[in-house]
Amino acid sequence: MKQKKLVLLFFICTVFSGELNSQVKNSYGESYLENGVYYTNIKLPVKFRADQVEALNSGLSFEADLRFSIVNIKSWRLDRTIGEVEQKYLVRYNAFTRRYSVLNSITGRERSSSDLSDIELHISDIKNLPLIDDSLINIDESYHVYLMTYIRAQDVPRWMQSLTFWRENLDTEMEMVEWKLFK
Amino acid sequence: MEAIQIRSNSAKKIIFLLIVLSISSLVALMFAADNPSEFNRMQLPLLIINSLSLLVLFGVVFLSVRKIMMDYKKSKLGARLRARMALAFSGLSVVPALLVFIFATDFMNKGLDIWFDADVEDGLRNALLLGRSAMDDQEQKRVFDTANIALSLDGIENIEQQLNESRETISAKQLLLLDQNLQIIAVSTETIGLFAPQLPSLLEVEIAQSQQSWSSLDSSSSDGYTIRVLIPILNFASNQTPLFLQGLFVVDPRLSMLADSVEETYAAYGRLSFLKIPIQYSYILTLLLVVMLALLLAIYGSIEFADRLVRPIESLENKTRSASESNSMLHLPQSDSDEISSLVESFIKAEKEAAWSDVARRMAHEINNPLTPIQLTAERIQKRYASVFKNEELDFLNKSTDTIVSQVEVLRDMVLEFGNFAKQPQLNFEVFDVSKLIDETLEFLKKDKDSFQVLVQHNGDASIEADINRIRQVLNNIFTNTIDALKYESHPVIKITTKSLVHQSNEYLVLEIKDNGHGFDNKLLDSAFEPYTTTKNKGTGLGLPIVKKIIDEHKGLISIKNNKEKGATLKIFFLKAYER
Repeated sequence: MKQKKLVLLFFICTVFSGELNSQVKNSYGESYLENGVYYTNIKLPVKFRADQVEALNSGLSFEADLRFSIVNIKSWRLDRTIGEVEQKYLVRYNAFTRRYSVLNSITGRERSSSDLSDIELHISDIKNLPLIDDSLINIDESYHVYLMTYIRAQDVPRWMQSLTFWRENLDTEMEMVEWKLFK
Repeated sequence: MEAIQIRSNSAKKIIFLLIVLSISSLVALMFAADNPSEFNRMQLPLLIINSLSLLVLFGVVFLSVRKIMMDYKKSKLGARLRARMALAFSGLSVVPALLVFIFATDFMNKGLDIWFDADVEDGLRNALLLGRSAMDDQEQKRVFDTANIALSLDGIENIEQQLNESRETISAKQLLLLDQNLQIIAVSTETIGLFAPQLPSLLEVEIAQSQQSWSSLDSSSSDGYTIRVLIPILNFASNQTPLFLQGLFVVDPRLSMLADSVEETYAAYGRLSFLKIPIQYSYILTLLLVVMLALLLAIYGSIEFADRLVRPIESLENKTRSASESNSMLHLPQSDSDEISSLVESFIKAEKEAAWSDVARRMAHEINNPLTPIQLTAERIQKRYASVFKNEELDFLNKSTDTIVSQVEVLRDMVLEFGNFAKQPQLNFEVFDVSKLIDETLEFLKKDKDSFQVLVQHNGDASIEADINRIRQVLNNIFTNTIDALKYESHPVIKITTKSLVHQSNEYLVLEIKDNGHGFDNKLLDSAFEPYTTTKNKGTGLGLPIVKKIIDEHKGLISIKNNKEKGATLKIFFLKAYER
């Protein structure tokens, strides 16, 4: 009986450690303080699926929506969101130039490449993104940053989505990434 | 028995509201479809409303059908008729709706197929290729220009000045000198603000190094279409690491605009082509929703319609059953004023009249037979004992036998009236003046009773085509009743008016008789024309039923009502020309 319990415990530990490892491997985020501002570096496994690539090549554009939430973690009370930051990237394919382009909807900066993986890499590897002003942070408290990433097909009318609800969705919601604002 | 279980007014109101709501939302959906953004915004709520209506209607129809089937199995009266009617009416709506759906779906699919015709796609692709080949020429020229500049650069000294002069010479938007690690060495830009040039990727640098040039057509939201060229620089004496010259050229705005237009159209077509199946499904689903709603509405309407038609017949059956069980009178159901209800009403009336006629005939026969022996016996008794009795006994005998004889006469009159009510006379039609007949009748009645005032007003011709003897009987009965009603009035007045009236292409003579007597008991007013309805002590209750019967025989109409102030008014509509 005891042996069975040990086997079960080992199995659970293996599964969960694998899960944690894969999360660590796929997504990663860290923050640092510089000149009174917390910046962040993120690595995301942004990879368009085959049907999404087909849609992209057909003329549909995709929006990668990165939503950061800075949450004050309370021990015995409800956590409190103290700030939110959003980054939006519009990815599209130009049949005339045969190049993919990614436009940062917030900054207006644009980049193009004939290789989609370049674009994926551009969204996956974000560096030095300003998150929150230091004045809003109390160093004695604990803060976590949560990142939710959505990839949504544009130009698909909502009525069409609702009427064809049983079909596979072109949208993707990625795993949430969480890290401490500071150690 | 009712076909639909949901009978409460509130439930009916909700169903009605949902029906109105779904029809309105369908209309809104139709109008919103003209405006894509509006359609996008409104579609989901409208879809929810319609789906909700569909569910509720489905539930109602399901319950109704279940009820009909249960009634049918139990062989309830009217269930078979209701089921057949509902099925027939539903069938009439289901078949066309299904046909419309099938044809509409087919047409829609064919329309979409034509829309996404291969020729259209080829045409668009060719337009794209054509535009691209025009751009290729420009791209080659820019490669040549940039390569010449790269060859002309003779060292790193004064490189920015060299780049500025060269950029102006070849009309470039930007010239950029960088090493293979993508570090910028020098830059010359047409616009001062353009400090963030797009750097080539490492792959592009590799290609440029291996193939001696790399170029690409690019597009940006700010500059439109641009050409980017990357050329390795080989002739710098101090080259430690390979250097590259990147030239950025803006495509002619007119060409750029045309290219943009072709690309937009191609992309829009590609999007639609990619979404063809979802578009098809969503259109079919919307159509299906509309057809289902229409269908369920039609089925619900059919069941309701069948129910309304069958309800009077059921009511007749119920009334007949309850009347036969309780031996009571068969009262007319207060049903809707449609043809079926009128038919049922007429049927009940005809039954009642036939029954009363039969009763009257039997009574007349049964009473009449012993009357003559009674009268003769009384007269014989009087004759035989007149010589035997004297004084008081003789008086008693005479009074008693006179009473018997007079009561026999009363009974004989009653029998005569029963006979009149029961008989089916042969009518002899002739044209005569009703006003004269009225005067004659009044003259006859006023011989004994001249204590009431008669006001007569004849408006125009008062001639009709009718059986004069039967109409005389009508007037006789009416005036007798009227005079009786005025017996205890201090100032009795009878107002008689005649006038012509055309109604539904029939010409009538309207006779109105108004008195200021005691009027009718309100409880008896509705059954005033039914036999044996009377408040008189000596009345047979057949006067007005005989009047009604005669008027019916002449296809006329009769109505009676109490006056607001006092008395009653009777109206008779005589057909001026009898239609045989």
